[in-house]
Amino acid sequence: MTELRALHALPAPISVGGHGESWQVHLVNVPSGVAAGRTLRLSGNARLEWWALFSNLEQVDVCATKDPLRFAEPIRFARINREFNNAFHSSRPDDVHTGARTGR
Amino acid sequence: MHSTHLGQTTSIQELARGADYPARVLAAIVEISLAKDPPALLEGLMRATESIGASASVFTAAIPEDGSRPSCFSVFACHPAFAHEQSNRDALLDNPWWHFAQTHRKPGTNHEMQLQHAADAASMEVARQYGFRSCLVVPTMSGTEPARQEMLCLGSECEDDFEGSEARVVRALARSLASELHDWLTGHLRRQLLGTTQLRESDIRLLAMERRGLGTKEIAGLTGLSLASINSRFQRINTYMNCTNRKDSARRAAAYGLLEPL
Repeated sequence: MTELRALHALPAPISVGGHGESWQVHLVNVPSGVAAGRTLRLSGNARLEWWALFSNLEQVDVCATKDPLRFAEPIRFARINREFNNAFHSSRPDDVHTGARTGR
Repeated sequence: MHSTHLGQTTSIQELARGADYPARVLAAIVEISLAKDPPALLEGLMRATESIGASASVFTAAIPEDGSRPSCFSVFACHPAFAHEQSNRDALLDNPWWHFAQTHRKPGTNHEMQLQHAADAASMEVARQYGFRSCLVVPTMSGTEPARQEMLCLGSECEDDFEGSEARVVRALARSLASELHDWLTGHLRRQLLGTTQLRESDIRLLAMERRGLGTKEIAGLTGLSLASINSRFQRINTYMNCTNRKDSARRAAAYGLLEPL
């Protein structure tokens, strides 16, 4: 039985403060693409976390047009897109990027 | 129509007629428990969805917190644009699928969803565009209180793919998949809370006693600790749990599966 695990992590922990809320994005290479997780901290202990799988950069482009961060946080939005590019162009399985994967 | 990850080439009903279908699907479902983290879970859900023959799936959980608003955890095994469409809590917890899951114990198809408002119909129409032309919603609920509510929704590009006698097998397998996802999430939440709160086993025992409704004196009688020590321990636990009182801490611990035996 094949053990399911991410082949290598390409963390892109990005935190944004303001109005008591913050969000983080995590990108992780998995065998079928790049798993993207977004965590939004809400009031109290409440948080919203969702994960989706991107198979190619075209899907990233489609989602970018719907992403409210595009205008609300343009600099960090651009950074996320750069990280997606890095993730899809990173082919070496041992290409491990170090860094904290927070929010887990 | 948006292309999905899981290019569905044939109907689920047709696939389900194959003699080895249940075994193949179960082989994918049992791998869910091996997922080390959410990305691996996503990958596992993707494989299980594909093995069922579905074109898309979503797993969503609402975890009660100390306040009125729950935390949400979702995994989208479908086109990521659908995840973006659904990515705020209102969209996740205010749609016909979730309403169905909240009010039913047994799985149901899109024909059983009640569309009460125009927004409900719009929500279903968006879902249709992302591989949920027909769908099967499987509700799950934790046995502990406060109850964590969860829902698995499987989608198909084929109309009425979850109806008819062949669907009995698919429903049984979908329930099995939902149960595996539930178990995985319980372990994940438990690890997550233990990782962030640094609670010790003795703290968890205290929280379990509080959850059972025991007062300080009763806890002292059972543990041999002094009343002052128990109050002090609970103050520290409340800080770790980010809760204002021991009752809320115990509720949160229960919701995160911390008080369930391993």
